[in-house]
Amino acid sequence: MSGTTKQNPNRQSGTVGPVASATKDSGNPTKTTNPSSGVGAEWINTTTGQIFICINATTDANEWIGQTNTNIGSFGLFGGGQSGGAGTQVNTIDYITIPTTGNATDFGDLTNNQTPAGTSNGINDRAVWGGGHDGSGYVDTIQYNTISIPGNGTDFGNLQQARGGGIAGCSNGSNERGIFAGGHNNDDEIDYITISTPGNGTDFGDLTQGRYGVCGADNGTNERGVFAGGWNGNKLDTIDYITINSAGNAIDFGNLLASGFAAASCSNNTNDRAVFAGLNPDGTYLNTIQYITITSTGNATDFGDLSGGRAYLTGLSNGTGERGCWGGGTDTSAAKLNTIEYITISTPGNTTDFGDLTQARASAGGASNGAS
Amino acid sequence: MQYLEYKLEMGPGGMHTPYWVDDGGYWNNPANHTYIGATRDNQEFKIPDTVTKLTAAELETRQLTIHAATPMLKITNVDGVPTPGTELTDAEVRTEIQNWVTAHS
Repeated sequence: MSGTTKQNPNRQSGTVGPVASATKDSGNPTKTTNPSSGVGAEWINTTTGQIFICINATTDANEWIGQTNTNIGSFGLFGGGQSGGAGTQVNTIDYITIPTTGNATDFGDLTNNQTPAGTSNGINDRAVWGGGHDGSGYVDTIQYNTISIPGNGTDFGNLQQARGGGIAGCSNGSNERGIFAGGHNNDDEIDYITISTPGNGTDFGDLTQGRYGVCGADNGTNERGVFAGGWNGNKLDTIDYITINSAGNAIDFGNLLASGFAAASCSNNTNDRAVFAGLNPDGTYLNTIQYITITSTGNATDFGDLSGGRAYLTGLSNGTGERGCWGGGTDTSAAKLNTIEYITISTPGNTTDFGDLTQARASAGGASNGAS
Repeated sequence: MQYLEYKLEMGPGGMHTPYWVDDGGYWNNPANHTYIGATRDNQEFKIPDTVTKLTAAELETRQLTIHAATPMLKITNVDGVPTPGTELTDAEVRTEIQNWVTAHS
Protein backbone atom coordinates (compact mmCIF):
# COMPACT_ATOMS: atom_id res chain seq x y z
CA MET A 1 0.00 0.00 0.00
CA SER A 2 1.40 3.34 -0.95
CA GLY A 3 0.50 6.95 -0.33
CA THR A 4 -0.63 8.56 2.90
CA THR A 5 -3.66 8.04 5.05
CA LYS A 6 -5.62 11.16 5.92
CA GLN A 7 -8.70 11.88 7.93
CA ASN A 8 -11.89 12.28 5.94
CA PRO A 9 -13.45 15.37 7.44
CA ASN A 10 -16.54 14.96 5.36
CA ARG A 11 -17.53 11.62 6.93
CA GLN A 12 -20.34 12.52 9.30
CA SER A 13 -22.62 9.52 8.91
CA GLY A 14 -22.29 5.87 9.78
CA THR A 15 -21.53 4.25 13.09
CA VAL A 16 -18.12 5.87 13.64
CA GLY A 17 -18.06 9.66 13.75
CA PRO A 18 -15.56 12.19 14.99
CA VAL A 19 -15.12 12.81 18.74
CA ALA A 20 -16.64 16.25 18.32
CA SER A 21 -17.76 16.60 21.95
CA ALA A 22 -14.38 16.11 23.61
CA THR A 23 -13.02 19.02 25.61
CA LYS A 24 -9.34 19.66 25.02
CA ASP A 25 -7.26 21.08 27.84
CA SER A 26 -3.64 21.01 28.96
CA GLY A 27 -4.56 19.43 32.30
CA ASN A 28 -6.75 16.70 33.76
CA PRO A 29 -10.42 17.26 34.57
CA THR A 30 -11.21 17.72 38.26
CA LYS A 31 -14.05 16.78 40.50
CA THR A 32 -15.54 20.24 39.90
CA THR A 33 -15.26 20.03 36.12
CA ASN A 34 -18.99 19.90 35.37
CA PRO A 35 -19.57 18.46 31.88
CA SER A 36 -22.54 19.93 30.02
CA SER A 37 -23.27 16.59 28.38
CA GLY A 38 -23.22 14.59 31.61
CA VAL A 39 -22.08 10.98 31.90
CA GLY A 40 -20.05 9.95 28.88
CA ALA A 41 -18.55 13.37 28.29
CA GLU A 42 -14.99 13.14 27.00
CA TRP A 43 -11.93 15.16 27.94
CA ILE A 44 -8.54 15.07 26.27
CA ASN A 45 -5.45 16.16 28.17
CA THR A 46 -3.42 17.76 25.36
CA THR A 47 -0.24 17.53 27.47
CA THR A 48 -0.29 13.80 28.16
CA GLY A 49 -2.70 12.68 25.44
CA GLN A 50 -4.80 10.88 27.98
CA ILE A 51 -8.56 10.64 27.34
CA PHE A 52 -11.01 10.83 30.25
CA ILE A 53 -14.65 9.82 30.37
CA CYS A 54 -17.07 11.23 32.91
CA ILE A 55 -18.57 8.26 34.79
CA ASN A 56 -20.51 10.21 37.42
CA ALA A 57 -21.92 13.62 36.58
CA THR A 58 -22.78 15.22 39.92
CA THR A 59 -22.33 18.97 40.13
CA ASP A 60 -18.93 19.69 41.72
CA ALA A 61 -18.54 16.02 42.66
CA ASN A 62 -17.93 14.48 39.26
CA GLU A 63 -15.85 11.38 38.61
CA TRP A 64 -13.64 11.03 35.57
CA ILE A 65 -11.74 7.93 34.60
CA GLY A 66 -8.81 7.93 32.19
CA GLN A 67 -7.54 5.18 29.94
CA THR A 68 -4.57 4.53 32.23
CA ASN A 69 -6.98 3.97 35.12
CA THR A 70 -6.42 7.52 36.30
CA ASN A 71 -9.38 8.18 38.55
CA ILE A 72 -10.18 11.77 39.47
CA GLY A 73 -12.26 12.58 42.48
CA SER A 74 -12.61 9.32 44.33
CA PHE A 75 -9.40 7.43 45.11
CA GLY A 76 -8.55 6.85 48.76
CA LEU A 77 -5.11 5.62 49.85
CA PHE A 78 -4.06 3.86 53.05
CA GLY A 79 -0.29 4.20 53.52
CA GLY A 80 2.01 2.28 55.86
CA GLY A 81 0.95 1.07 59.29
CA GLN A 82 1.79 -1.63 61.76
CA SER A 83 0.72 -5.22 61.05
CA GLY A 84 1.41 -6.74 64.47
CA GLY A 85 3.26 -5.86 67.64
CA ALA A 86 6.28 -3.60 68.08
CA GLY A 87 8.58 -3.46 65.07
CA THR A 88 6.07 -4.71 62.50
CA GLN A 89 5.75 -1.50 60.48
CA VAL A 90 4.91 -2.02 56.81
CA ASN A 91 5.32 0.03 53.64
CA THR A 92 2.08 -1.09 52.00
CA ILE A 93 -0.07 1.43 50.17
CA ASP A 94 -3.45 0.21 49.04
CA TYR A 95 -6.36 2.09 47.53
CA ILE A 96 -10.10 2.07 47.32
CA THR A 97 -12.49 3.80 44.97
CA ILE A 98 -14.47 5.61 47.63
CA PRO A 99 -17.91 5.77 45.96
CA THR A 100 -17.83 2.05 45.19
CA THR A 101 -17.74 -0.52 47.98
CA GLY A 102 -15.29 -3.39 47.62
CA ASN A 103 -11.91 -4.58 48.75
CA ALA A 104 -8.77 -2.44 48.57
CA THR A 105 -6.20 -3.02 45.83
CA ASP A 106 -2.42 -2.85 46.05
CA PHE A 107 -1.20 0.61 45.00
CA GLY A 108 2.56 0.52 45.66
CA ASP A 109 5.01 0.95 48.52
CA LEU A 110 6.21 3.76 50.75
CA THR A 111 9.97 4.29 50.70
CA ASN A 112 10.17 2.94 54.30
CA ASN A 113 8.23 0.73 56.67
CA GLN A 114 6.55 3.38 58.83
CA THR A 115 3.37 4.72 60.42
CA PRO A 116 2.96 8.19 58.86
CA ALA A 117 0.24 10.80 58.87
CA GLY A 118 -1.33 11.36 55.47
CA THR A 119 -2.96 14.33 53.80
CA SER A 120 -3.39 15.61 50.25
CA ASN A 121 -4.05 18.57 47.99
CA GLY A 122 -7.39 17.03 47.05
CA ILE A 123 -8.35 17.28 43.42
CA ASN A 124 -4.80 18.32 42.58
CA ASP A 125 -4.06 14.64 43.15
CA ARG A 126 -1.02 14.51 45.43
CA ALA A 127 -0.86 12.55 48.68
CA VAL A 128 1.87 13.36 51.18
CA TRP A 129 2.99 11.13 54.03
CA GLY A 130 4.84 12.69 56.96
CA GLY A 131 6.69 11.28 59.96
CA GLY A 132 5.96 8.07 61.76
CA HIS A 133 7.95 5.35 63.43
CA ASP A 134 9.87 2.63 61.61
CA GLY A 135 10.21 0.21 64.50
CA SER A 136 13.62 1.44 65.58
CA GLY A 137 12.95 5.14 65.89
CA TYR A 138 11.00 8.16 64.78
CA VAL A 139 11.39 9.29 61.19
CA ASP A 140 11.36 12.80 59.73
CA THR A 141 10.73 11.84 56.13
CA ILE A 142 7.97 13.27 53.97
CA GLN A 143 7.15 11.44 50.75
CA TYR A 144 4.44 11.73 48.15
CA ASN A 145 2.34 9.83 45.62
CA THR A 146 0.16 10.86 42.72
CA ILE A 147 -3.14 9.56 44.02
CA SER A 148 -4.70 8.65 40.69
CA ILE A 149 -1.69 6.68 39.43
CA PRO A 150 -0.61 3.60 41.37
CA GLY A 151 3.10 3.57 42.21
CA ASN A 152 5.66 3.85 44.96
CA GLY A 153 6.30 6.82 47.22
CA THR A 154 8.84 9.47 46.21
CA ASP A 155 10.97 11.54 48.58
CA PHE A 156 9.49 14.99 49.28
CA GLY A 157 11.61 16.42 52.11
CA ASN A 158 11.86 16.33 55.89
CA LEU A 159 9.89 17.48 58.89
CA GLN A 160 11.54 19.92 61.30
CA GLN A 161 12.20 16.96 63.57
CA ALA A 162 11.63 13.22 63.50
CA ARG A 163 8.37 12.34 65.17
CA GLY A 164 5.19 10.41 64.76
CA GLY A 165 3.38 7.22 65.01
CA GLY A 166 0.75 9.40 66.56
CA ILE A 167 1.12 12.46 64.35
CA ALA A 168 -1.84 14.23 62.69
CA GLY A 169 -2.20 15.56 59.14
CA CYS A 170 -4.61 17.93 57.41
CA SER A 171 -4.55 20.43 54.54
CA ASN A 172 -6.41 23.24 52.80
CA GLY A 173 -6.87 21.01 49.76
CA SER A 174 -6.19 22.57 46.40
CA ASN A 175 -4.81 25.68 48.14
CA GLU A 176 -1.76 23.42 48.55
CA ARG A 177 -0.78 23.77 52.20
CA GLY A 178 -0.24 20.54 54.12
CA ILE A 179 0.02 20.39 57.91
CA PHE A 180 1.62 17.85 60.26
CA ALA A 181 1.02 18.31 64.01
CA GLY A 182 2.08 16.72 67.27
CA GLY A 183 3.62 13.30 67.42
CA HIS A 184 5.68 13.17 70.62
CA ASN A 185 4.78 12.97 74.26
CA ASN A 186 5.27 16.70 74.73
CA ASP A 187 5.48 17.75 71.12
CA ASP A 188 3.24 20.69 70.31
CA GLU A 189 5.00 21.39 67.03
CA ILE A 190 3.07 22.09 63.82
CA ASP A 191 4.89 21.91 60.46
CA TYR A 192 3.61 23.06 57.11
CA ILE A 193 4.60 22.27 53.54
CA THR A 194 3.46 23.36 50.10
CA ILE A 195 2.13 20.10 48.74
CA SER A 196 2.79 20.86 45.08
CA THR A 197 6.44 21.73 45.80
CA PRO A 198 8.77 19.17 47.41
CA GLY A 199 10.78 20.59 50.29
CA ASN A 200 11.20 20.52 54.04
CA GLY A 201 8.63 21.34 56.69
CA THR A 202 8.50 24.89 58.07
CA ASP A 203 7.41 25.95 61.55
CA PHE A 204 3.72 26.91 61.64
CA GLY A 205 3.08 27.31 65.37
CA ASP A 206 2.15 25.15 68.35
CA LEU A 207 -0.78 23.01 69.42
CA THR A 208 -2.56 24.11 72.60
CA GLN A 209 -1.20 20.95 74.24
CA GLY A 210 1.81 18.88 73.23
CA ARG A 211 0.55 15.36 72.52
CA TYR A 212 0.57 12.33 70.30
CA GLY A 213 -2.12 9.87 69.31
CA VAL A 214 -3.90 12.93 67.90
CA CYS A 215 -5.96 13.07 64.69
CA GLY A 216 -6.57 15.91 62.24
CA ALA A 217 -9.34 17.03 59.88
CA ASP A 218 -10.10 20.12 57.81
CA ASN A 219 -12.71 21.93 55.77
CA GLY A 220 -10.44 22.15 52.75
CA THR A 221 -10.24 25.46 50.95
CA ASN A 222 -12.24 27.08 53.77
CA GLU A 223 -8.89 26.98 55.60
CA ARG A 224 -9.66 25.52 59.02
CA GLY A 225 -7.81 22.52 60.41
CA VAL A 226 -8.79 20.79 63.66
CA PHE A 227 -6.90 18.37 65.91
CA ALA A 228 -8.65 16.09 68.37
CA GLY A 229 -7.79 13.93 71.36
CA GLY A 230 -4.35 12.63 72.21
CA TRP A 231 -2.10 11.54 75.03
CA ASN A 232 0.53 13.51 76.93
CA GLY A 233 0.72 11.31 80.00
CA ASN A 234 -2.98 11.91 80.44
CA LYS A 235 -5.76 11.13 78.03
CA LEU A 236 -7.14 14.27 76.44
CA ASP A 237 -10.51 15.39 75.12
CA THR A 238 -9.00 18.51 73.59
CA ILE A 239 -10.04 19.81 70.19
CA ASP A 240 -8.03 22.75 68.90
CA TYR A 241 -7.92 24.50 65.54
CA ILE A 242 -5.74 26.51 63.22
CA THR A 243 -6.33 28.69 60.18
CA ILE A 244 -4.28 26.79 57.64
CA ASN A 245 -3.27 29.69 55.41
CA SER A 246 -2.17 31.79 58.38
CA ALA A 247 0.69 30.44 60.48
CA GLY A 248 0.23 30.72 64.23
CA ASN A 249 -0.59 28.78 67.35
CA ALA A 250 -3.65 26.59 67.68
CA ILE A 251 -6.70 27.86 69.55
CA ASP A 252 -9.12 25.95 71.78
CA PHE A 253 -12.15 24.66 69.84
CA GLY A 254 -14.04 22.47 72.32
CA ASN A 255 -14.02 18.92 73.63
CA LEU A 256 -14.65 15.39 72.47
CA LEU A 257 -17.41 13.40 74.19
CA ALA A 258 -14.74 11.41 76.03
CA SER A 259 -11.06 11.81 76.78
CA GLY A 260 -8.79 9.48 74.86
CA PHE A 261 -6.36 9.00 72.03
CA ALA A 262 -5.84 7.20 68.73
CA ALA A 263 -9.14 8.18 67.12
CA ALA A 264 -9.27 8.65 63.34
CA SER A 265 -10.95 11.44 61.45
CA CYS A 266 -12.25 12.53 58.09
CA SER A 267 -14.48 15.34 56.84
CA ASN A 268 -16.85 16.34 54.09
CA ASN A 269 -14.46 19.14 53.26
CA THR A 270 -16.13 22.47 52.44
CA ASN A 271 -19.46 21.03 53.63
CA ASP A 272 -17.89 21.66 57.04
CA ARG A 273 -18.39 18.50 59.10
CA ALA A 274 -15.52 16.59 60.71
CA VAL A 275 -16.14 13.14 62.17
CA PHE A 276 -13.95 11.27 64.65
CA ALA A 277 -14.20 7.51 65.09
CA GLY A 278 -12.89 5.14 67.72
CA LEU A 279 -11.01 6.21 70.81
CA ASN A 280 -8.84 4.61 73.42
CA PRO A 281 -9.57 6.00 76.88
CA ASP A 282 -7.98 3.32 79.09
CA GLY A 283 -7.48 0.30 76.88
CA THR A 284 -11.25 -0.11 76.57
CA TYR A 285 -11.71 1.00 72.97
CA LEU A 286 -14.88 2.88 72.11
CA ASN A 287 -17.07 2.36 69.06
CA THR A 288 -18.23 5.95 69.22
CA ILE A 289 -18.31 8.22 66.18
CA GLN A 290 -18.69 11.91 66.98
CA TYR A 291 -18.80 15.06 64.90
CA ILE A 292 -18.24 18.79 64.95
CA THR A 293 -19.10 21.64 62.61
CA ILE A 294 -15.64 22.82 61.66
CA THR A 295 -16.37 26.54 61.35
CA SER A 296 -18.27 26.67 64.66
CA THR A 297 -16.28 26.11 67.84
CA GLY A 298 -17.96 23.89 70.39
CA ASN A 299 -18.09 20.38 71.79
CA ALA A 300 -18.55 17.21 69.77
CA THR A 301 -21.90 15.51 69.26
CA ASP A 302 -22.58 11.79 68.92
CA PHE A 303 -22.89 10.61 65.31
CA GLY A 304 -23.32 6.84 65.56
CA ASP A 305 -21.23 3.72 66.06
CA LEU A 306 -18.47 1.74 64.41
CA SER A 307 -19.14 -1.99 64.11
CA GLY A 308 -17.03 -2.51 67.23
CA GLY A 309 -14.81 -0.77 69.75
CA ARG A 310 -11.44 0.10 68.24
CA ALA A 311 -8.68 2.66 67.84
CA TYR A 312 -5.60 3.32 65.69
CA LEU A 313 -7.73 3.14 62.54
CA THR A 314 -7.36 5.33 59.46
CA GLY A 315 -9.92 7.80 58.16
CA LEU A 316 -10.39 9.29 54.71
CA SER A 317 -13.26 10.61 52.60
CA ASN A 318 -14.26 11.81 49.17
CA GLY A 319 -14.96 15.26 50.61
CA THR A 320 -18.16 16.84 49.38
CA GLY A 321 -19.06 13.43 47.96
CA GLU A 322 -20.00 12.79 51.62
CA ARG A 323 -18.60 9.29 52.02
CA GLY A 324 -16.27 8.79 54.96
CA CYS A 325 -14.33 5.56 55.37
CA TRP A 326 -12.34 4.07 58.21
CA GLY A 327 -9.94 1.22 57.63
CA GLY A 328 -7.88 -1.11 59.80
CA GLY A 329 -7.16 -0.40 63.44
CA THR A 330 -6.99 -2.50 66.56
CA ASP A 331 -9.70 -3.94 68.77
CA THR A 332 -9.53 -4.89 72.44
CA SER A 333 -7.94 -8.26 71.57
CA ALA A 334 -4.97 -6.24 70.18
CA ALA A 335 -5.51 -7.96 66.82
CA LYS A 336 -4.88 -5.76 63.78
CA LEU A 337 -7.95 -5.42 61.57
CA ASN A 338 -8.42 -5.35 57.80
CA THR A 339 -11.98 -4.05 57.83
CA ILE A 340 -13.13 -0.91 56.03
CA GLU A 341 -16.44 0.67 57.01
CA TYR A 342 -18.20 3.76 55.75
CA ILE A 343 -20.71 6.43 56.66
CA THR A 344 -22.51 9.22 54.86
CA ILE A 345 -20.95 12.19 56.61
CA SER A 346 -23.98 14.46 56.25
CA THR A 347 -26.27 11.87 57.86
CA PRO A 348 -25.59 10.64 61.41
CA GLY A 349 -25.84 6.88 61.80
CA ASN A 350 -23.83 3.70 62.17
CA THR A 351 -21.19 2.41 59.79
CA THR A 352 -21.77 -0.07 56.96
CA ASP A 353 -19.26 -2.64 55.72
CA PHE A 354 -17.24 -1.41 52.74
CA GLY A 355 -14.67 -4.19 52.15
CA ASP A 356 -11.22 -5.18 53.33
CA LEU A 357 -7.70 -3.74 53.20
CA THR A 358 -5.08 -5.87 51.43
CA GLN A 359 -3.27 -6.18 54.75
CA ALA A 360 -4.58 -6.00 58.30
CA ARG A 361 -2.86 -3.15 60.08
CA ALA A 362 -3.19 -0.14 62.37
CA SER A 363 -1.84 3.41 62.50
CA ALA A 364 -1.67 3.85 58.72
CA GLY A 365 -1.96 7.26 57.07
CA GLY A 366 -4.91 8.19 54.85
CA ALA A 367 -5.32 10.54 51.88
CA SER A 368 -7.68 11.00 48.94
CA ASN A 369 -8.15 13.08 45.82
CA GLY A 370 -11.80 13.64 46.58
CA ALA A 371 -11.45 16.89 48.47
CA SER A 372 -11.54 20.44 47.19
CA MET B 1 -15.56 22.07 92.34
CA GLN B 2 -18.35 19.55 91.91
CA TYR B 3 -17.70 16.06 90.52
CA LEU B 4 -20.62 14.78 88.51
CA GLU B 5 -21.54 11.36 87.14
CA TYR B 6 -23.64 12.07 84.07
CA LYS B 7 -24.97 10.60 80.85
CA LEU B 8 -24.91 12.31 77.48
CA GLU B 9 -27.99 14.36 76.67
CA MET B 10 -30.00 13.93 73.50
CA GLY B 11 -30.34 17.08 71.41
CA PRO B 12 -31.49 17.99 67.90
CA GLY B 13 -28.12 17.02 66.38
CA GLY B 14 -27.55 13.93 68.50
CA MET B 15 -26.15 13.12 71.93
CA HIS B 16 -23.76 15.61 73.50
CA THR B 17 -22.08 16.42 76.80
CA PRO B 18 -24.56 18.35 78.98
CA TYR B 19 -23.95 22.06 78.85
CA TRP B 20 -23.77 22.20 82.64
CA VAL B 21 -20.56 20.11 82.61
CA ASP B 22 -17.51 22.38 82.49
CA ASP B 23 -14.98 19.62 81.78
CA GLY B 24 -16.29 16.15 81.09
CA GLY B 25 -15.70 12.95 79.20
CA TYR B 26 -13.69 11.10 81.86
CA TRP B 27 -13.90 7.41 82.79
CA ASN B 28 -16.84 6.11 80.84
CA ASN B 29 -18.61 3.26 82.59
CA PRO B 30 -19.63 1.01 79.70
CA ALA B 31 -22.11 -0.80 81.95
CA ASN B 32 -24.38 2.22 82.36
CA HIS B 33 -23.02 4.76 79.82
CA THR B 34 -22.03 7.32 82.44
CA TYR B 35 -19.06 9.68 82.45
CA ILE B 36 -17.37 11.84 85.05
CA GLY B 37 -17.11 15.60 84.71
CA ALA B 38 -16.37 18.64 86.81
CA THR B 39 -18.41 21.80 87.19
CA ARG B 40 -17.67 24.95 89.14
CA ASP B 41 -19.16 25.48 92.58
CA ASN B 42 -22.05 27.88 93.17
CA GLN B 43 -22.89 27.87 89.52
CA GLU B 44 -25.61 30.18 88.22
CA PHE B 45 -27.18 27.47 86.03
CA LYS B 46 -29.21 24.52 87.20
CA ILE B 47 -27.84 20.99 87.28
CA PRO B 48 -30.68 18.42 87.17
CA ASP B 49 -31.48 16.96 90.58
CA THR B 50 -31.15 13.45 89.15
CA VAL B 51 -27.42 13.89 88.48
CA THR B 52 -25.18 12.08 90.97
CA LYS B 53 -22.64 14.31 92.72
CA LEU B 54 -19.61 12.42 94.01
CA THR B 55 -16.99 13.20 96.62
CA ALA B 56 -13.38 12.45 95.79
CA ALA B 57 -13.60 9.28 97.90
CA GLU B 58 -16.79 8.18 96.12
CA LEU B 59 -15.11 8.83 92.78
CA GLU B 60 -12.26 6.51 93.77
CA THR B 61 -14.73 3.82 94.82
CA ARG B 62 -16.64 4.15 91.54
CA GLN B 63 -13.51 3.82 89.47
CA LEU B 64 -12.20 0.82 91.41
CA THR B 65 -15.55 -0.91 90.85
CA ILE B 66 -15.33 -0.25 87.10
CA HIS B 67 -11.67 -1.29 87.13
CA ALA B 68 -12.61 -4.66 88.64
CA ALA B 69 -15.00 -5.33 85.75
CA THR B 70 -13.17 -3.54 82.91
CA PRO B 71 -9.53 -3.10 83.89
CA MET B 72 -7.82 0.19 83.14
CA LEU B 73 -4.52 -0.38 81.39
CA LYS B 74 -1.16 1.32 81.70
CA ILE B 75 -0.36 3.44 78.66
CA THR B 76 3.18 3.39 77.30
CA ASN B 77 4.85 4.64 74.16
CA VAL B 78 5.30 1.69 71.80
CA ASP B 79 6.80 2.61 68.44
CA GLY B 80 5.62 6.20 68.77
CA VAL B 81 2.03 5.30 69.56
CA PRO B 82 0.38 5.49 72.99
CA THR B 83 -0.40 1.86 73.66
CA PRO B 84 -2.22 0.06 76.48
CA GLY B 85 -0.21 -2.61 78.25
CA THR B 86 -0.50 -4.17 81.69
CA GLU B 87 -3.38 -3.54 84.07
CA LEU B 88 -3.12 -0.66 86.50
CA THR B 89 -2.96 -1.66 90.15
CA ASP B 90 -5.68 -0.42 92.46
CA ALA B 91 -3.14 2.00 93.92
CA GLU B 92 -2.41 3.37 90.44
CA VAL B 93 -6.11 3.81 89.76
CA ARG B 94 -6.44 5.74 93.02
CA THR B 95 -3.46 7.90 92.07
CA GLU B 96 -5.00 8.69 88.68
CA ILE B 97 -8.24 9.75 90.34
CA GLN B 98 -6.45 11.80 92.98
CA ASN B 99 -4.37 13.59 90.34
CA TRP B 100 -7.52 14.43 88.40
CA VAL B 101 -9.26 15.70 91.53
CA THR B 102 -6.24 17.87 92.32
CA ALA B 103 -6.29 19.28 88.80
CA HIS B 104 -10.01 20.00 89.15
CA SER B 105 -10.14 21.56 92.58
